[in-house]
Amino acid sequence: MAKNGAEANGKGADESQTQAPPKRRGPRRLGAESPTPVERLVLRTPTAFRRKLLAVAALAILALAAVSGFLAWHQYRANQHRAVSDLNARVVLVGGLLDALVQGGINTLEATAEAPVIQNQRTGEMSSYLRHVDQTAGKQLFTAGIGWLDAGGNLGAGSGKTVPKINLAYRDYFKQVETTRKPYVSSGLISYGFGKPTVVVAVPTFDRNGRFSGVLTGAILLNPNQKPSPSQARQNEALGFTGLTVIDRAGQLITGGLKHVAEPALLARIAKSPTGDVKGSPGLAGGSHHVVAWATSKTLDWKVAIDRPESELYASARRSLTLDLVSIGVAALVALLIFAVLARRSRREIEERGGHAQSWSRLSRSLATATTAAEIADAVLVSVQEVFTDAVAVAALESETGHEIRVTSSLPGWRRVPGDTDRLRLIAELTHDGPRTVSLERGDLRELYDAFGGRLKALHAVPILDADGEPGGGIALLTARGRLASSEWELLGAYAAQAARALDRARAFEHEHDLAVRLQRSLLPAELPEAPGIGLAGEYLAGGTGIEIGGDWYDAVLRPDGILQLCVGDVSGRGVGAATIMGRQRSVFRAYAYDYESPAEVLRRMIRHVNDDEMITAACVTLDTLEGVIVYSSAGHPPPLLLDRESGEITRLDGASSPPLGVAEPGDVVEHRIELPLHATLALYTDGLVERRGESIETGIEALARAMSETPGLSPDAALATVGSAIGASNDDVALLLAAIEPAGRIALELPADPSVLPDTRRRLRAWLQRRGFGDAEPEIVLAISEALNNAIEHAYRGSGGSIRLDLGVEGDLLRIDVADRGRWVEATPSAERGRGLMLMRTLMDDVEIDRAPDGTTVTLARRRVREPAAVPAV
Amino acid sequence: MSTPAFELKSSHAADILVVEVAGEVDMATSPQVTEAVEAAPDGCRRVVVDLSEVTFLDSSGLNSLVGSRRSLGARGIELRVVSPSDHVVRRVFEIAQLTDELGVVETFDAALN
Repeated sequence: MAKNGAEANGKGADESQTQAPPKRRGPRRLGAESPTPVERLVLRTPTAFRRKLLAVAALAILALAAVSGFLAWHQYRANQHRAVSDLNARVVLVGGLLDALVQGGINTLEATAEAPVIQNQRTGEMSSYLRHVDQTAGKQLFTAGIGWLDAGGNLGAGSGKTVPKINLAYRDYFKQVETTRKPYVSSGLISYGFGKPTVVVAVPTFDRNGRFSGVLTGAILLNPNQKPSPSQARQNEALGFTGLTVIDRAGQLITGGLKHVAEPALLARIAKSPTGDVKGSPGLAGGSHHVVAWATSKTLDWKVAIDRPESELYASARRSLTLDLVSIGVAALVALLIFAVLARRSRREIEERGGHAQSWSRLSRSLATATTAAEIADAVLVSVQEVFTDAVAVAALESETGHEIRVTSSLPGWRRVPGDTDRLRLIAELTHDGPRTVSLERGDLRELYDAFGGRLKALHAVPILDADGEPGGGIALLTARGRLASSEWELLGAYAAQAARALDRARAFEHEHDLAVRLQRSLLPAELPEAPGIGLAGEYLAGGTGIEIGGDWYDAVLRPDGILQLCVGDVSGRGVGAATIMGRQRSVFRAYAYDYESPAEVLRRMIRHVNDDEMITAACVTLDTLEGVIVYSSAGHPPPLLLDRESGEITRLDGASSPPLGVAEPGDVVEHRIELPLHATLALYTDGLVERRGESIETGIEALARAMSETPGLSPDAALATVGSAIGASNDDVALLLAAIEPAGRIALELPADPSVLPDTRRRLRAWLQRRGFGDAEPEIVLAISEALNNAIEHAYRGSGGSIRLDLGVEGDLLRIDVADRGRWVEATPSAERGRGLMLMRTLMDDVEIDRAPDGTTVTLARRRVREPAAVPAV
Repeated sequence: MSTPAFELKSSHAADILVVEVAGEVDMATSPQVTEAVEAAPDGCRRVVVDLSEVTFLDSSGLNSLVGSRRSLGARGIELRVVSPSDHVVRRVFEIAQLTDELGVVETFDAALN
């Protein structure tokens, strides 16, 4: 198929008007025979599964997002932890700084205390000295000035403008220094001078003799309300000192207006350990959800703490968490979005392909059973029409009998233009050079263009190439649009390939089927015997197709003694195996039918030739028109039907049934004998004639019986047709054997020249004579014939075998019997014995003639129905 | 309707041999009749062949009886044939004009006297 695509493209007669379909890329070729594995997977993926697939993918994205979220949260917690650690580090640092600062203050004061003016307690100069110190060394620290208290606690000098006469002996720092003679830093206290929170650093002073002379103090003004300058605030912020506070030994917030720590529990906690932090606690100044970190100043035994609201402290972590979560969310959203878009797109594709796939599989199905070009064309057309709803679709296939061209369309208002056979043929021819698109406006196609009222502008055609690469037909679409999409070309090509394969198959099939049917027929009798008084007609109809021939058969054997043996059988199974078994059984039947008159005996013998795995149903019928009997035996076979054409009565020969051959034991096989009507029709058949799926076999048997009753001279063809129209066509093989029995003018039989056949022959003759109205004379006639037979046996052959021909018939009221032998007449010496037989014949019959010829002797006996008074010799 | 089987039965009553025949006497069976009849022992005075049950008798049967009569006669033995006149076989004797020669009688009793 495909290899011709590109070549064919170049063959367009008029390039300007012939547009080649898009060349395909990749390994797939035009007319690829089936979808790719991926396509198959997609096409075959059930909707529910696809839905699940989408759901799982979405869940996977969500799970990934969740994991990312968890990691982000973890990171957030780590960031929080880091922020708190940071606080810890800072408070420790600040604690150290505070130590250094206070120590520096102490050092400054101690150095000052050693100054002569302090040692000598020259209070007059002392104040100006202290002012000088305050302005140079102490200024930065002792914001509330430096002062000296004498040993009694009276303020002796100060760096302030005035030195009020006050006694500060009650202050802790005075008492401590007086007692310990060591430097001391007070807790926060309200300064006497400023009335503001102050911390006082105090060192002892000594006189020249080393006696305690007083206390030198440096006061640090705590000014909590003073807002830091913007630059300071920024610096604090940058250094992370926001919320820095100092807690004195009394639990007062040095930087918080000497307020006490709001929560005693928190204070206790802080007091307990030199460093640490508390999260989610109330703030030092109240509130909730604060983080407080602290360190201890060793010199002062004060706590340095940073107290930050969590919201503020964790702001950065939260920001980054938010950022992370937002990023994850956005990423997941984008992924979901992309996936959704992809899924939707693929769903659309799947739906589209699903439609194609449905049409495709329908096509495959219908093509699988198509065995003729017409069926293929029909199947292709239906599928093409389903997919290309905007086109007039044409499918053309060559068959043995000519062209099968089909046209249809889903276009509204479309109807087939009458008399467009030639146009269709033209379209069919145009497909041969495809795949291609041809403009209908082309000069030589103008007629076509007009035929569709100018509505259709272009013809798109793909050829259907047979196994030899020759166009065996094609598919054409006539559309209003000028071009087909590449996917549509693909589909068309695939349809064409499917059709091509089906066409090859159908051709091979036809051939094989022909062969098979011929084989089957060759196994059936080429011609049926001509029995006097019996018209035989057989038909075999291959119900199946292809090489699936069946194992149905019929056969008829006319024995020399005038007995007709009929058989019909059905080997279960199909194919060559069944046909072979059938052939074998037929031979077996023929062999035994000669040897055994009894149908049951024939069937019993046939059982011997059935292998273990075989099963055969068969019915054997023995017809003796001489004796006027019918003997039958059935092994699992539908009953033969016997019609008495005079009474119209139908008899089912179902009185002697046994299991099928292969199941039955010889002892099971029985036979039944009934009288054979003078005028009768007998039908032997296989179940394919009367059995239909979902129907009782009775329906079919009755239809056959009706056909037999209603049609005198029923032929097998007519029987098949009548039964078929009553119960539907058969898919199964049918073998049918019809016997029409009429009183024959003459009956001829060959008998072995052996005395042993005589009793049977007499019996048959008696029955025949009675049926033919010679009942009264029967003993005499039988005796006469016997004598003639005796002569033939004894004289002609002398017991050496050979056969005797007995020919008898009634003409009018005259019975005539010929007894002929082919032996040499032996002229024995005349004797009384010899004469008696002859004399009996002459006496018993009206006329006796003996014709002695070199090749045999014929004795002719004649007798009238009503005899003239016999001239019986007197005794 | 099958042919009655051919049967032979021989019995002695004093010096009389009785051969009862049934069925069909033809080429195939008549030799048996001959054999049975001629088996009459010496000293036997008479052989009675009862054909009352015979349904068919042809010339071979006649010939058999004629031959037997001759050979028995040579031995001084009488032959009597029982064949009732209303019987189908009787007509064969009549046509062959052998009724007297073969001593054909109506009844078995008549044959004994």
